[in-house]
Amino acid sequence: MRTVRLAAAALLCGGLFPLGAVAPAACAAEGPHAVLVVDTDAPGGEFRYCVALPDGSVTGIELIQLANDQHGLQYRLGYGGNAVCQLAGVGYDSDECLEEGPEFWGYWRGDGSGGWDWSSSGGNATTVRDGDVEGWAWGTGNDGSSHPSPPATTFESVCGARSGGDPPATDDDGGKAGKGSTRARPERRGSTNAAGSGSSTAARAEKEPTHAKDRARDDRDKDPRAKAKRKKRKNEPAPAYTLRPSPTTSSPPAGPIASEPTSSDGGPPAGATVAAVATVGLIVAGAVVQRRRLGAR
Amino acid sequence: MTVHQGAWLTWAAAAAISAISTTNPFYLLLLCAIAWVVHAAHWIPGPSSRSFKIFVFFAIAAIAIRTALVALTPLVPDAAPVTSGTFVAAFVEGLRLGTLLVVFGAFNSVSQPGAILNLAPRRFHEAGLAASLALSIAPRTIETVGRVREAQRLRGIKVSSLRTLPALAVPVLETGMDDAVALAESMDARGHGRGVRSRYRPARWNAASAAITAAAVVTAIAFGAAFFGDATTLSMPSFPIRWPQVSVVLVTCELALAVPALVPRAHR
Repeated sequence: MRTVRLAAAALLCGGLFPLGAVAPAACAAEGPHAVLVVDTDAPGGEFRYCVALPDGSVTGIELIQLANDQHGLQYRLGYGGNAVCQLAGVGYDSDECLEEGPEFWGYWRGDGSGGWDWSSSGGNATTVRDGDVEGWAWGTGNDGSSHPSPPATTFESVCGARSGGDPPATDDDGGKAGKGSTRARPERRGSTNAAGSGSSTAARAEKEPTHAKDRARDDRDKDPRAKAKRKKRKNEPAPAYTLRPSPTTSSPPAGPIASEPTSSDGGPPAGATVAAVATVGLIVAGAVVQRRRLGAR
Repeated sequence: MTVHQGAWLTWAAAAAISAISTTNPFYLLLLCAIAWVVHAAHWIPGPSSRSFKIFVFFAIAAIAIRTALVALTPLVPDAAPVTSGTFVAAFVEGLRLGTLLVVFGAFNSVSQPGAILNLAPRRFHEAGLAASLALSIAPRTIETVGRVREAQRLRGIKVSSLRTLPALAVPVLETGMDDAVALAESMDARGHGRGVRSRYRPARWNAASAAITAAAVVTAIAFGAAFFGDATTLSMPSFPIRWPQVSVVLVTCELALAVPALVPRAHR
């Protein structure tokens, strides 16, 4: 019954998109969701995904696989599928990746108020349910006291309010995660590229690995769910997630990723205005001084 | 007040540290504007001040080339798909490099030639002088070529034809030799290489230099602390593209680098 409702909501969301009259709130609240946070410890390398869960619960590793289906998060497992070796292109290539170097993907679980608890069990032995927040951080350190944790994240900041309230009039971070605001392109905060405004699929760009190793596409291919989802991808933009771009197209920037809480006016943050004003002021001042010096000679 | 060369060096180092630590275009463009103001206020007449324009040109070229390099991504096996975020990331990396060039151009134009040499310990003065003379061979040769060409034109030799190019070699080499010998004689007359030590007109540390140095240290510490601590505002989110966060505290510390513009220039 639940899957039928999910499919109906998906069709509703997808079908009404061209009219722009989608009721995004219903889309986001439908079905169980969990949040996955990936912190690659590189500048700009923090990713947050609102992942729709199937019926029941999944393990931490299965959540990563779902994020790969729904958002294109690259991952690679080791030790027979029991450990996480690579996420978003960061990590070691071998199957025994925990022996390759001091860094590894530390597994954290949200404590319900944005903070993190170091997980005492591995990703293959945990249960992720509706409303959970999961985090993976790249770094060194044997346990929670020394290993870096992902940035503080609450469920609501990524997946939106759970009660299915009205969609935000402007783009604040609560609404970013797939209440259809990703489709309403003019509202999308920070979307400097309007090239994709006509397309019906909001696409999520995958982080370009700075130390690119071979990405294990075969992991994704083997997943049976991935094949089925890929076929229906174009026609079924399911709620709260965006679709993977085809490898060679230049896709527009968008995604249900919520940002750190910043200004809610949908534009550049306040500090940026100060910086911009200062920049322009200094350029003008420099021109004036230069004119005066050259004129006096 | 003449600004001590060491103060300029500290200023340039702090500006470079700030530029390297971030890819946030708001910080970087502000840094470029600061370098421009400092250049406008304190450039010293000479070829180095004219070269500021060339540094700006190369900065823009660096940005353009770095952004265009994204087009080579298909040549890399298994690279991530190219999106507009990739272009944005490449652009801000180029912008960082360009900012470094502009900062260096400003430092170049406000520095007194030879003053940097005097900052080094006394033992390295001779070696430093030799190195700077060796490095100056390219501009000197270009200048000589210009003069020889002019002389040939005055004698009615067609300089535009390619066949007269070999006729350039001998006069240029000869002039180069003559200039080198003349330089060596004049340096010898001034006592270089004889171990004679004098501190003629040493540069003075004054209030202006101290203020510039202190302000530069503040900026360097602020950006260093941000880089090793909370670095959220230092990066430009490209996947997906979002407005970068800008910390007013960091902007204020960055504005400390503009203190040299407030210092009145020494009048000669």
